[in-house]
Amino acid sequence: MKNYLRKLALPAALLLVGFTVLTGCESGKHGEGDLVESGTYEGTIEEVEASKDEIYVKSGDNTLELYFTEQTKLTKGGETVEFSSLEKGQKVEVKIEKKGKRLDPISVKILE
Amino acid sequence: MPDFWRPEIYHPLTVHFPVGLLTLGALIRIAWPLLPDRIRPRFLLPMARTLLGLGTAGVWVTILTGEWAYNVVVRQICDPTVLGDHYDAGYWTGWTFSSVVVLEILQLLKTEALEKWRTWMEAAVAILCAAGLGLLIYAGDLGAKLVYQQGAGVYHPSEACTEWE
Repeated sequence: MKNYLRKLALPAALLLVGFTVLTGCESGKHGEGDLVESGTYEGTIEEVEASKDEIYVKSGDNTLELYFTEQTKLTKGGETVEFSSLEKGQKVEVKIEKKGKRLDPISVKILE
Repeated sequence: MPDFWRPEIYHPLTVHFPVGLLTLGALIRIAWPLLPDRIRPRFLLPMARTLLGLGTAGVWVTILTGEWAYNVVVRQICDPTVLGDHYDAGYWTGWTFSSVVVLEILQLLKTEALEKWRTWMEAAVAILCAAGLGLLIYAGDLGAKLVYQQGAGVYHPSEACTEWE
């Protein structure tokens, strides 16, 4: 029984390391966005996290971390589009409402 | 009144098991090298290793349920930076205790090549357990702040409690 456990030990260790590294890759830079006042900002999408319906927008010196809500209106050329239309590097105009230390995107316009 | 089994509910349901298992396992493992041979019960080391193994598996389950909760509460709370810190502390706790488990498994191998590293591995396990325990407390403190200061994942009944009538 002990020998059997010892044979299992190395594959188990490798499996655990692999799982840990894979799960670790999931963790991004959450909660690191800058806080700005309510208003409209123009910027470039730095990152799209589709699994969280989240985008990071670089606007001037600020990085805006924006989580889409059911109320967020996403448009391109005046038409409503899906979240999957968002890509890294796109220019966007975002209308933001600041609530406490949270930034709610009211609308996101894809400019190009 | 919303359904009880919401995505954010699974995190508080799963988080307390690894906290208990890892706290006890880590405390025993930190104390183990300091205990004189004559007062070391034989069952204590395997017990601590079992607690650490089960607790670490529990941490990753908790991180998974935490991901589900994150997507909901990040859109509700007033200060998401606390959630970000809680998220990072959770992952660091997972990585730290996973390293402990890897070292424990390597110690079980009892190969000649690893034998000369045994003292170092014992020391590393104790240090990592102390660090993991600190991270666990920090993550727990932030989790408590999320719930008790910002009401994360908590349903707020109407003032007249009419939902229960």
